[in-house]
Amino acid sequence: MDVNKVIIELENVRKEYHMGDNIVNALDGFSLQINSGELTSIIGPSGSGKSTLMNIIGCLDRPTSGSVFLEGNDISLMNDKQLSRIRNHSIGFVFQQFNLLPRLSILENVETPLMYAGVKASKRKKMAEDALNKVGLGERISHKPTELSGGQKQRAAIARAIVTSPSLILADEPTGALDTATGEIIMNLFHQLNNEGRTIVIVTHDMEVSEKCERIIRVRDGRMEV
Amino acid sequence: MFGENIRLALKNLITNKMRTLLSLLGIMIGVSSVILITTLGSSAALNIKKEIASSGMDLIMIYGGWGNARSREIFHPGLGEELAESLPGVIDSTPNLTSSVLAKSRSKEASFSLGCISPSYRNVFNIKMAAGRFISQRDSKEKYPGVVLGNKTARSLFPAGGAVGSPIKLIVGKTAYQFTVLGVMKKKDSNMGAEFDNVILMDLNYYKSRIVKVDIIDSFFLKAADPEAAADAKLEIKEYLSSKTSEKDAFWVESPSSISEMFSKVTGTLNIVLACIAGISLLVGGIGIMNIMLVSVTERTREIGIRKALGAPPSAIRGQFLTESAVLTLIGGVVGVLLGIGLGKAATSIMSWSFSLVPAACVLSLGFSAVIGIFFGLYPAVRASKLDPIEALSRE
Ligand SMILES: Nc1ncnc2c1ncn2[C@@H]1O[C@H](COP(=O)(O)OP(=O)(O)OP(=O)(O)O)[C@@H](O)[C@H]1O
Ligand SMILES: [Mg+2]
Repeated sequence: MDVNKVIIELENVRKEYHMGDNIVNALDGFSLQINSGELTSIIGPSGSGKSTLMNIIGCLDRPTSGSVFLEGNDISLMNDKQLSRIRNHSIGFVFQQFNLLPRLSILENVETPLMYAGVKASKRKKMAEDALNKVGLGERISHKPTELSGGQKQRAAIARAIVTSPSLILADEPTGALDTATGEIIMNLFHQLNNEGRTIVIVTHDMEVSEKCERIIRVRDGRMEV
Repeated sequence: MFGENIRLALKNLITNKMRTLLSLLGIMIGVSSVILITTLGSSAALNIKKEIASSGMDLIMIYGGWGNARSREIFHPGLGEELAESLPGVIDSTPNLTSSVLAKSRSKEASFSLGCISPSYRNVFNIKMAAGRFISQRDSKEKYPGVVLGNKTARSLFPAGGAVGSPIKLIVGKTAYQFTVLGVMKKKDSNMGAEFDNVILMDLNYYKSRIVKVDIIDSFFLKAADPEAAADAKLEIKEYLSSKTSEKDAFWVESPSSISEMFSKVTGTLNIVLACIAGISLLVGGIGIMNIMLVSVTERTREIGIRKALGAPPSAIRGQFLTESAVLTLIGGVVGVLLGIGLGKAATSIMSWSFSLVPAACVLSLGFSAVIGIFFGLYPAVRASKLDPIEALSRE
């Protein structure tokens, strides 16, 4: 894999929220490049803009100004449909609260992004099972999310994030809802996936988690700390 | 994807059984009343048709115009047979020459209306006998001196019963004629001016050869081939008779208000009721569906956010909710149809009608239900598809 290929590039990105008369600068001129194959951690105090940054990188949100390039394409020029396609093909999300669909089984949850990608049902099942095996969740895949432990849920969520083989995996405090031991297992999983060549960005509060990553980005008041 | 959506829709509807049922009430009531009404309508039509034959809705009457001497070309005794032979819409006929007569049994005497008719009279009016028999073709040919009595006539002349076979004297002019009572008719409501209870019926053939020589008849009764086609037969007859005379108003042809008119009146009213019920239930049902779908979208905002994060395009979200509301209303439609059939069966059996379902109404109702689902589900579905993913994900 070409390690030096730039996957994501932010140029002077601003994100403002209007709270009545006040303007909150969640991101205040943020520039950033992430290369293929990197394992990056983003760390910073609460309210510093980490989640806002992740949402913009993940094409879930648009910046107020500045530009965002994903694999060389300017996402500010894209409409909702094109953005959903990018999210489907190029991004895999892992959330603090797992965000599994409660009425679907684990297997169906993992199949969902493939459904939106238009993969045939039979192929979908095989791919989802492979992804679940990769995160060490070969069993209990026909159970509902509520019947699983936090660590298992997060594994399922990671399987769902990698099942489309996206160019970028974004994890916003993936260990935040887990105990330390389980969190470590999940972090090991990310390292393993990174060793296989996947590009991963992890938001965390935890210095220990962050220090294990090859690149650390510190955020404060919507800016990158140097 | 579509199959997936249907599976998802069913899953969601099953999780909220009670709510699903309640939200479907409007559609269910609407569809079932449509089915019930069409069923009742078609069952009623079926039964009316059955009763028509016996109630004389297939009768046509011909009589002369006022103030004109009846033309010999038209009102000759054989006119009925002539019409029945030449017009396909007419299957039977009887002449009808009425006068009044003094009748004497052994013990009683009274005045009655005397009808001179042909043996076909029985078939034309669907006469049922209380006792004995009607005048036969053979009686007519052999000029047998027999008469048939109306129910009241028999009662007043033979209060002790035993009319059939008894001798009876009829006084016409100053001459008394001796007859035998062949039979007594059952009670019957009068029809188109023809009266059945207070009469004495005699074969016209006998009357004109033995009592009074007549060559012009008052009126004729004809039986139409099909009660629904009585109006058409009437026109045929008019046309036929018009070709025989240049005189205006030389004759009148009448039939009971045509069946098709009556049917269209009945079905017209039914259709209005139907349209009202369908319209109201459609609106109420549709608003119910829209409401429940909006609730569903709000409840599942987070799910929508997750799906969007996973790459669901707006069209997929829209499709998911549209499918759900269409499946919902279709279920309501199916339940409504079944309910309507059940109610229709019950109602027709209470009225002891035969049951007749309108398949087109069932199919249309089902199609309509799905259309309502899509129409009223559109707004909630579009709203879901336009949700902002970040906001949706931050919702609990
Ligand atoms: N939808 C919103 N409306 C208004 N303000 C917002 C909104 N989302 C975020 N903000 C504000 O933007 C700033 C950055 O928020 P963000 O969620 O990115 O912080 P964070 O670094 O992820 O914090 P945490 O570690 O607590 O998750 C905060 O001050 C927050 O209050
Ligand atoms: Mg955050």
